[in-house]
Amino acid sequence: MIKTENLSKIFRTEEVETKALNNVNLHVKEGEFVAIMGPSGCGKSTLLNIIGLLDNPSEGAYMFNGKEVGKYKEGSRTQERKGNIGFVFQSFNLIDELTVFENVELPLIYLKIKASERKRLVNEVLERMNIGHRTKHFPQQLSGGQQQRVAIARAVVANPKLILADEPTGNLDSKNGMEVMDLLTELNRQGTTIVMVTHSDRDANYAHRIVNLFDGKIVTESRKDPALV
Amino acid sequence: MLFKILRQYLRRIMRNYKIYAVSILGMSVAIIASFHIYHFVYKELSVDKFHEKRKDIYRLVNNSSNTNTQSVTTFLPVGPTLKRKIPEVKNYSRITTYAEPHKLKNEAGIELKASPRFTDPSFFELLNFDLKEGSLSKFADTPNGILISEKLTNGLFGSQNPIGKQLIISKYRGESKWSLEVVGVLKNIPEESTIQGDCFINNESLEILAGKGYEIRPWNYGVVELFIHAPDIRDLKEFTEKVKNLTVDEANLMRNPKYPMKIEHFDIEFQRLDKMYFHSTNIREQKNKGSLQFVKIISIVGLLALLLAISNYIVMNLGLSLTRVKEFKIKRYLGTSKKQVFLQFIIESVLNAMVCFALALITYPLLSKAIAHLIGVEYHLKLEKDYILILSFLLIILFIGFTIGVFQYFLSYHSVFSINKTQTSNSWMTKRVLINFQLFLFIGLIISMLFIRKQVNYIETKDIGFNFKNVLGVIPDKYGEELKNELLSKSYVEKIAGGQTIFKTEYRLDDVTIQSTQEKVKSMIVLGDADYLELYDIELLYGKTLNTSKLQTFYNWTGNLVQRNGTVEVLVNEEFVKRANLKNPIGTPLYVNSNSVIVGVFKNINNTPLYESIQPIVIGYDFSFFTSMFQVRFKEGYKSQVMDDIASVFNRNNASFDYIKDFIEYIDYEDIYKKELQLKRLLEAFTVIVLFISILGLVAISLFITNSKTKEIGIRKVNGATINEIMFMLNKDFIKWVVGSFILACPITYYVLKNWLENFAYKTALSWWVFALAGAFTLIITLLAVSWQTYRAAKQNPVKSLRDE
Repeated sequence: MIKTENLSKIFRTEEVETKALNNVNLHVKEGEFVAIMGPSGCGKSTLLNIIGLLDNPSEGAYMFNGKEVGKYKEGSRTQERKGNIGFVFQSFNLIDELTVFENVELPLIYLKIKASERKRLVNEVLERMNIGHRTKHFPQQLSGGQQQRVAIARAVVANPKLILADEPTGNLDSKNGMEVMDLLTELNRQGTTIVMVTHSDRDANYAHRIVNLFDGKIVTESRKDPALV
Repeated sequence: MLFKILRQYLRRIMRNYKIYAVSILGMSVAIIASFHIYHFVYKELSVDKFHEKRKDIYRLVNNSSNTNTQSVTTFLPVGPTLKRKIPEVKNYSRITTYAEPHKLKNEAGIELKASPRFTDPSFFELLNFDLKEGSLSKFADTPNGILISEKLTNGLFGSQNPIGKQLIISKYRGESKWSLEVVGVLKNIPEESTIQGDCFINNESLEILAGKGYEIRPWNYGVVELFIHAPDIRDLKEFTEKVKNLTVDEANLMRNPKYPMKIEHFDIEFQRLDKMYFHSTNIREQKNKGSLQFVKIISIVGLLALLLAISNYIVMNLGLSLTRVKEFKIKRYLGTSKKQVFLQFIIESVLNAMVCFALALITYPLLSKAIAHLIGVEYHLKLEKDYILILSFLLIILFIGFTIGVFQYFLSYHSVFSINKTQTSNSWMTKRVLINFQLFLFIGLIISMLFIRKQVNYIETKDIGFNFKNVLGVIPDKYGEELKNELLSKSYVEKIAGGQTIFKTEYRLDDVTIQSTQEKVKSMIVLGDADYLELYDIELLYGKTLNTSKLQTFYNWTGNLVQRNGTVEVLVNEEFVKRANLKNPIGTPLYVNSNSVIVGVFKNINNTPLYESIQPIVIGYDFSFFTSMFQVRFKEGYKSQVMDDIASVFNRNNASFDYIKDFIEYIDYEDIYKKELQLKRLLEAFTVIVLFISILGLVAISLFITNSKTKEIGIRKVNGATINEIMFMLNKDFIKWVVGSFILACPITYYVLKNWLENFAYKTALSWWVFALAGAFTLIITLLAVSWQTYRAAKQNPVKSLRDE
């Protein structure tokens, strides 16, 4: 599903050039659960953004679903992303002015799905995430765990094949964190590919495979015993 | 403390110079504009206010029932009579109203143009026109004494002492000369004075100079304007009645008992000195008049510009203060008091206002010419003279700066001093209201501007039934034949016809009697000969034109009434036929000062400004009055040539012709609709200013909206929103505001314009498409201004905005 070849990303300011990614070769198969780890500033999030078609690589190739998308313009990236990729962030990134329902509804609106269908899908996913009773609340009225579940609901409502999670438990206490990880695992079991950036070894242990990044390069890759999956 | 705030203020300006430049620029433009307007209004309102006794001095005004005009001339003996018989009248002063240009020549032969006015010496006691040199008692004692202005003194005598010098005064028309003695130098009359003049001659010479007529029958001809000093009037109405009765009684003692003065013909009122500038619209003799309506409109315009700029400034600074909340919060944690925060807001705001004021002062000389052209009045700012004006405006500006500071303090109070992180909707509401106000004003102005343009165009292009373009009216003095011959010899002169200028900005209506029914029709009486209709391209509907060969022309200067033989042929317009209710107008006998008969009927013409509807008109050549004036039609583009030709005839006869305007009448639409054109220009300029300020405001608000929605934009983009969808989301609010403002602006503007159009007898339609056009224009401008920001925001990479704080 995801295949990068010699992927590099360079950030330039007036004086400094920073190589955030340096010849990264990563291959993620459909149905996999991959965790990306590494110290701050090693390029984890940059990699995730490129995988998520939010950003373009400076060099190298990126194949997504068998298509070379590395040089896509913004419009094409948006089209490709829609319905295919869901995002979960550390800071939830819910829109404060919208209710839980409206937040979750967003991707469906942009996919131009009819209102009645949207209603059904949103309610269904909110039930699944166990926050069906909170549809009319605003994000600030919810606990952190609940907010992250709304964010996950939003990520999966359009039934994407890929979910990208950027430190999804970073802002949560351990109990809520575990719940979120259980949710992601459950999704993965149902067939969704998951790529997750994390600092936490415990979270990483939920993944099939752990990729360690250092200074923009993949330094180690460890595969979990398939028997444990 | 103060120094620190100043230093921080400067540092902040340097750092955010772009935003500060924009916010100060908008404010400056408005302050510059309103400073000019303030100057104009201040000057207009100060007219005649320098007379100390202005509240106790009254001018006598005659109302004429026959005309739509008033007159200020009255009989010479009225003043002395009132002083003698009515105790409230402490003093009086008379002055001649019409100042014909004269030549003033000194012993060395230097000659200058001057317009002498005859007056009683008391004039300079009642009114504050001060002497620079010489003495008033000398003026009172010297029947041929003259007071001359500083300007004339400089021109005639340079640095020499003029007192006691002889001057020869002579008319431009005619040969008579008189010798006068300079008894004093008058300080130049300020421009804020309704009464103007450059030299004043003792009234005792009036009778000598003006000829015998006045001397013989002073109660028959009104020649002077009368001012009375009456500080103790309790009831002006009662006083006026008293004056009326007394004057008529006195007059009838002196007049020929066969022709007594009737009280209904002496319809007078008293006008207070400080009202004569603004309340003399219909007074014929007064050239120098103000328009209170124009002052009101322009004040409102200035005020709106200022309000707009203030609202804009607040919007921008609110946006800026969003970024400063953090600064203030940190300061707060570190122990700053509320007072200090308050002070910082006030000082910064006042400083900004002062920068704007300084810009206004600096740019004043550059802009004053253009603005003078715009409002049609030129005023000069002189530091040494106008310091009160400047200081008072500075005070206003400081007050505005202070108020804005207070306002900003209260608007950011919550964000700075409350622990709760969420921003209050308070400042959002304020911003929304302010932006809506700007859009409302903008739409209203555009609609008004479009309609005023439409109306002015309508007036300019309306078929008025006659052609006055390329026609000059000439007062030939005694060179009539020579002038006509000279002009007719030119190839570019098409036609000449005797008669008055047909177009009249002021007119009188006189009774015309239908002899058979004795019914009276109030009509305009116009002198014109056989070629008159043709010259003006007026259509004769039926009948025939005048036959002037039958007429007996006579002069009536001596006061002897010459009885005429036969009847005068006249032409009347359709309106006359309609009002007189005539079935067969041709041949109808009329009485128009003499026996007359209708020989032709011509099509209605609009020979008055289009404020007025059509009046009955009677054209004839020789009633009991007569004119030597004639009209010349010439080919397009030859106006100055024709004027040169006229001048050459005068010069050939050694008759000086320096004052061509006094001898030539030319209808100039620009002049007639001066007010409307002024208004049009003013609104156009103001719309540009408002447009400019509004765009700045829109750009600023869209900047702050997109800034505050950066995260939301990112989230939406991550969830699949395209650039177009984001832009629509951001622009949607602005569209709503424009629509809301439009809905509010339409009925209000409609109402105002409908009222304005009531001024005109002929009005353009208040078409819906003008409103639609204004709305569409505003929408486009708004979207352009806003999209510049929203496009940038929509395009930016969501990764940046979603990076964890």
